[in-house]
Amino acid sequence: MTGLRIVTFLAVASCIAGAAMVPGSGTAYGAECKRKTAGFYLQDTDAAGARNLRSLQSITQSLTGMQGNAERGREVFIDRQRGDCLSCHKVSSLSSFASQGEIGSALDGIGSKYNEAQLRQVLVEPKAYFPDTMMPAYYRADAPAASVLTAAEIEDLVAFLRTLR
Amino acid sequence: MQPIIGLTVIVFMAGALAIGPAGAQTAAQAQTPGMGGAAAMHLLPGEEFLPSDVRAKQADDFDNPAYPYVEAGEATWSKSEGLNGKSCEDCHGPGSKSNVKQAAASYPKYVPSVGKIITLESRINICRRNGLNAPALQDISDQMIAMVAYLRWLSRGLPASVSAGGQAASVFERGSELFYAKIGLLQLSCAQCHNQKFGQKFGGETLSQGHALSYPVYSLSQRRMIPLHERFRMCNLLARAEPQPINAPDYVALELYLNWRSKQLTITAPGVRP
Repeated sequence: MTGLRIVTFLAVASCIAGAAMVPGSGTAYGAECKRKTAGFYLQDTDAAGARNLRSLQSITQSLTGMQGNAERGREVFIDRQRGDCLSCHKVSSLSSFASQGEIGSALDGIGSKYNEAQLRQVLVEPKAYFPDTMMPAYYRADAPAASVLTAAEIEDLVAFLRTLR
Repeated sequence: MQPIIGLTVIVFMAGALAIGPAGAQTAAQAQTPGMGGAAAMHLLPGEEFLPSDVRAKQADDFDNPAYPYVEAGEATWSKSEGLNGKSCEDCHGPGSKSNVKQAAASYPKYVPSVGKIITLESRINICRRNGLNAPALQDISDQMIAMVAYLRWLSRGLPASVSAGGQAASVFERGSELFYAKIGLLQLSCAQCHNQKFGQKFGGETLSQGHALSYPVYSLSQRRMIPLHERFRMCNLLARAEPQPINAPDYVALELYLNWRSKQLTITAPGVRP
């Protein structure tokens, strides 16, 4: 925990100072900075050079109280009428499906970058991490009719995304 | 460890304060309807985003699957129809006349006799009713698509010359509002895809800047002509929003805004799409 707090402190401090200090990278750096702070989303590089994502905001409880099913999640993921995730995201293991988009990031390895609670947060309200994203919020507990997916579908998707390692 | 935790919180808050106003300003600029986004953007015609074989098909009249519609429209232009025994050409002159060539580029526009902003399709039907005394054409019929394809083909190479001020001001305002409005279950706006993400792949297709200058288009995958308002309906469905009927006031407003937004580009109708 101590380690994370120090990382938090360093990441945010360098973010604020960096906006003014990094020459020639004003706008892009400022946007990155905004992402880091507004969403309590932090990114740093560890000693081995690996990129780490850390989040202070996530949804730790399953929306259904149960573990999702990765097989069903895969169906939701590719279904044009439900998740339709491939319209914006590429996934190498699904390369048999043509017409993969690239508006969002490629999702290879997403399951080891994010834990379940973080994936659930991104699906339910992605703007919590990425304020500028155009990715829709896929679940609304307060308004089931306006919810793109059901709670069970979100849990199944989380389980599927965790298999993308 | 207490001091470090305290400091973390303070720095965090300072970060939010320092970034807050700048972030808010950027968001406001991006969402300001009208001049803001489009004026700052380097305009690229829809053809730039097409696969090269489709672009070549569009450029060659002999190979363009929409071209038979242009020919059909041309034949209709000079054909007498209706109880008055007149043709379009009897009143407006041949397609070679400059004001006939330029006509399509100026729609949607304010027409004093009807007191509102109307599309080229509506104008055609008003002429049919008042000038020819012939029945109106359905907006999505082959005959209507042919007339529009012909008139827009005549306007090829001309910039859209719509007016955004005067009588058109409120409709224009509504159109720009719609362009930036987040709609449907997915809460997406036209601007998100066509101002911010153009050039990127959405599914198998590359997002364009959303210029409507080659409409009506022939869709190779659907094997049919797609008028502009039909394209709006398809976009609405992608955002999982309720599509509106062809010629709905909101679609007329959006068409006006889009034409204004494309003003430095020229008309390339009829188009071909994958």
